[in-house]
Amino acid sequence: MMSHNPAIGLVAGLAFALVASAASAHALLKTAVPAVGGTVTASPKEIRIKFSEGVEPRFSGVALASEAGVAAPIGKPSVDPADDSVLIAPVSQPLKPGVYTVTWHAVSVDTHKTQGSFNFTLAP
Amino acid sequence: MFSRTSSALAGAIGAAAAIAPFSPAFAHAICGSRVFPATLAIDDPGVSDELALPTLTYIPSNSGGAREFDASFSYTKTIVENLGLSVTYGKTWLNPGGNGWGNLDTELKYMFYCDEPHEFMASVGLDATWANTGTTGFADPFNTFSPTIDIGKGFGDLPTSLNILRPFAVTAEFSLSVPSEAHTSSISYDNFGDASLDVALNPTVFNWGFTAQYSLPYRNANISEVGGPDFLRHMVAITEFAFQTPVGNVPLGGPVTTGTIQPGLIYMADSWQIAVEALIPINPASGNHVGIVGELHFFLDDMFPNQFLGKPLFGGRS
Repeated sequence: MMSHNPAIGLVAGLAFALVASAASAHALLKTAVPAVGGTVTASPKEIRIKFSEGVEPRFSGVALASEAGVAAPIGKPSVDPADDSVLIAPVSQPLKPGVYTVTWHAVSVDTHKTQGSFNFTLAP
Repeated sequence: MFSRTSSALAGAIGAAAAIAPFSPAFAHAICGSRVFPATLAIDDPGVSDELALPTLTYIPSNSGGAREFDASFSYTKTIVENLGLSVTYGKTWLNPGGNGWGNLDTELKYMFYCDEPHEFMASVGLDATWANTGTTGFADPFNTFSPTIDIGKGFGDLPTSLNILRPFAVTAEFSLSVPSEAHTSSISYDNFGDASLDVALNPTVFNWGFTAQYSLPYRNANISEVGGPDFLRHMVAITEFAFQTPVGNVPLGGPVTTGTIQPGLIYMADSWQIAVEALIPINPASGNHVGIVGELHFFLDDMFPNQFLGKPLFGGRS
């Protein structure tokens, strides 16, 4: 029976909606390899970004640049076949030691756009 | 009947769900890498489909010396991209003083500027509080119209040498509340039955406020990983400042600024957030004790990105 209290009815409806709807929202960065702000000792073979939601690789991208702003060669991104919330971009050539900036943009599977950037350091 | 209709609507809102075709969608209060959370004392600078339900406030002793409890909700529906209409309604319980509904509040708001690299966004709005929509004797018997501007600025564009400051953001709101009637008159009777005319001035009030925020989600995603339990990566520490200064038709006693300082925490999940803040009155005219306010907030554009509840009524999104 439907409640006559509007607040109860609305809360119940939203609670149902929360349970019934698949978790879907903006794809926000959770973790990355190399780590956000981290230091690695070997040139990474790929950039892996774990998002809060699944992403669409066709509409997402990753760029890599040195501290001087020179673009580093990086391949077309794809998602981990086992987890569509992990975006993977191959690093085409070994990097020289230095500070690098990863700039990404993503479209989540529910179509929301997000973007961000972070640095990591490749130690000599 | 109000309650039956509202319950039916509520159920319909909750039950609405459908599969929709793929089309890109933009965020609510997101500009560049910055996510501005929904705030309690002032509005955030974004426009999106969202629902605050409930917002609960408890003040042990307000400026009139009464214990006060407020409960309200606010719903925003986007009409076209970046233009939304909000409806806010709530009830107040006073002891002593009884209880009653406040007037219905609406706001038409447009987010007109977002500079993504500099995490700066701004919006303008027209807020209206409508007379005779609340409880007689409890809500103002006149309309109030308030042109409003909201701005937000994240500091993520600072150089990496200032990484410690990059998770910070500030937002601000300025509005001028203009009553539709300059004064309110009422007739009262003393113990002998003699009538007297009471005239209360309805001042024009300048509302001004700002927030300072430190976002651990921002730090984790853009600067350095945040260790420890996962909930830390969802936390935003915030302090809000909200003030009201009479600037016209000022009552006897002069233009006394009232307001609150509200330190608190926000937990931001993917499609909802919960916020709790202390209410610290800045002077006796603002209250006599520290209160508390909490709010559960749903991002409908995240919950229903391609359905009626979560996208603009017209035009879709770019």
